[in-house]
Amino acid sequence: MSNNRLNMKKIFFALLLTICVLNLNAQKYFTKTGNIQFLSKTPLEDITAENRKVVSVLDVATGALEFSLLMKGFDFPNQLMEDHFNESYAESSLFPKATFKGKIVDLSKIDFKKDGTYTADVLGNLTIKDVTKEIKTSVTFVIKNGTIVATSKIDIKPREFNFKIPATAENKIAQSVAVNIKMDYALK
Amino acid sequence: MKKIKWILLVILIAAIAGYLYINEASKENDPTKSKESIAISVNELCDLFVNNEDSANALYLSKVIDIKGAVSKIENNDNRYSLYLNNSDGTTSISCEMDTTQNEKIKLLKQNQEVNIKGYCIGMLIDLELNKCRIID
Repeated sequence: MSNNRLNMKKIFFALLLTICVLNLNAQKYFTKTGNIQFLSKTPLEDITAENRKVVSVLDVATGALEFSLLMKGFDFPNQLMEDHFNESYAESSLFPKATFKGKIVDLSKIDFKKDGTYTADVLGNLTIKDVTKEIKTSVTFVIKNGTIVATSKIDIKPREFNFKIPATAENKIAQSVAVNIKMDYALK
Repeated sequence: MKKIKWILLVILIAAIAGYLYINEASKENDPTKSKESIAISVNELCDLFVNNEDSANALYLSKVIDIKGAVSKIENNDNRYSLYLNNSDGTTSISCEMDTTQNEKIKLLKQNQEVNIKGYCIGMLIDLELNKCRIID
């Protein structure tokens, strides 16, 4: 084999590698309609709210997973509850967004090219009201026809995130609030 | 007799207060019933948020926004609609999450049709978000 051909071959493989890497980088899944619901359950009162406009990016090449939402996007069945949440507890005008930045810990457990249901841990930082806490949660990924639906359930202690709850409402807001997360991703 | 008058008066006051309270609470849910609304063009509102999100948040968060424009996209998720209005260079969208009372009206809408919408500004992620939106006839 001539030197020239060997060089050509090297260049060809280098190009192929570059294309592969670029392709991997392009494996970003995205949603603007992620859904996060929470439930605060106490003997006095159950409070639910839903946010249907969560933005999230999932990079299946690196396992990076991020989402952000607008606090004022939480829809409560009762307007007074919503006003209390935004004006007093969450101070949504001062802290309009909540964000999560994390990573799938055991990425090798998931074959994103093959339809199926997978479970993997996600570890990351959740920031609400400028307070950041590390969170680890088990996430179920359902892969079907090029879409990914990721679901998880976490528990959040509102008081840890500096939610200001007056003594009069102390018994109406749970110490630990159940948060259901559902992201419906499609390729960006 | 005097006692009965007093009791009636107290009941009347309580009834008026209760009515006002409920009325006020439900009013806040409907942006079209708010006395204060800010009429602004899609372009101007998008520019303000893109250029300085913090100052735009301070001005517009929780305010009732009154906008007019052509519907660029109609989205339906679990029977809840969002209408999108784009700025003129197509770089930013206003996403209006519609109140479910508007579903029948939205079914008659066509893409690119001009609409006038009132909704609460809740901030910006990728799109500028309004919620509890209603179409004004």
